[in-house]
Amino acid sequence: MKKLDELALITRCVLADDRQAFGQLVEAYQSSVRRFFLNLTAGDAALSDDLSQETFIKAYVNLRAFKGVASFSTWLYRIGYNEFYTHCRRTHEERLDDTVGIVTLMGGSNASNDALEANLTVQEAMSRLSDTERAVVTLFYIEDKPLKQVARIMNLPEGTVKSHLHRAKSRMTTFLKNN
Amino acid sequence: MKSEEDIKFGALLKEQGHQAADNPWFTQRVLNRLPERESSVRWVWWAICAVAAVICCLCWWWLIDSRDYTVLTVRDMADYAIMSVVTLVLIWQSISVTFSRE
Repeated sequence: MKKLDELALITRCVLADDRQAFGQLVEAYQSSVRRFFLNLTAGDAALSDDLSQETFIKAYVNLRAFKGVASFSTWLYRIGYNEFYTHCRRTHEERLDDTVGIVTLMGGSNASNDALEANLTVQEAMSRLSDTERAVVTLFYIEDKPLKQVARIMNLPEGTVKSHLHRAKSRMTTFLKNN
Repeated sequence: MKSEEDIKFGALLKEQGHQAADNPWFTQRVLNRLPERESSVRWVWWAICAVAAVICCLCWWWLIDSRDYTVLTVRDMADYAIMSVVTLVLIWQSISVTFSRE
């Protein structure tokens, strides 16, 4: 979606509470936001959909606060990341152990399928990262956000993002080589 | 700027990482859950009503002040009737704007 079209839709939402315009924004970004959460939650589709919905609802409620300094997608990912962070703090769940268990189970039942096995190996490598590392990897490698935007979304200095990225990449590479 | 290695690593993650298939119901579900919000149009209409109420009060004041009450003409009765209708419409609009849910 072009930035001008995006701004026109946002203006319609803010001034006239045009929900159809907001629907178009949701339609444009739903895939990437849901994929972002799928990677952060290590494949929990139901949780990803819930978090995505909360993200869009928060975006709608706070749309007047969007100044247009950052792009709409950066602003949206920032809300999404905050939502994920709040969720992690609220639940205090040991997602790492759970997701590794789930992935291992799924892998065991479909061992004959090589492609699926390769997918599961990559996904397992992702699930072994910390929340912050997984978020950095997802934003930088999968969502193709530049370092500056990743830093802005996660509210971290660029240097910290770089070191998270380096550590995550070497951990994933080691895991993938061993598997 | 991404290095060649970064680009390859990214391609691997995109290809073999989690994929979110398009969900046609997702947008509708989000739209159904959006909270009610007061629109700017409502506030503009409320401001118009407030200005009209002030003008209406001034008209009533002028109407009462300028009349000779020893003689009641058909013109006077028509003026009062028109002003009464305008005032009632204004009160109705103000109430409906204040208490209506969009």
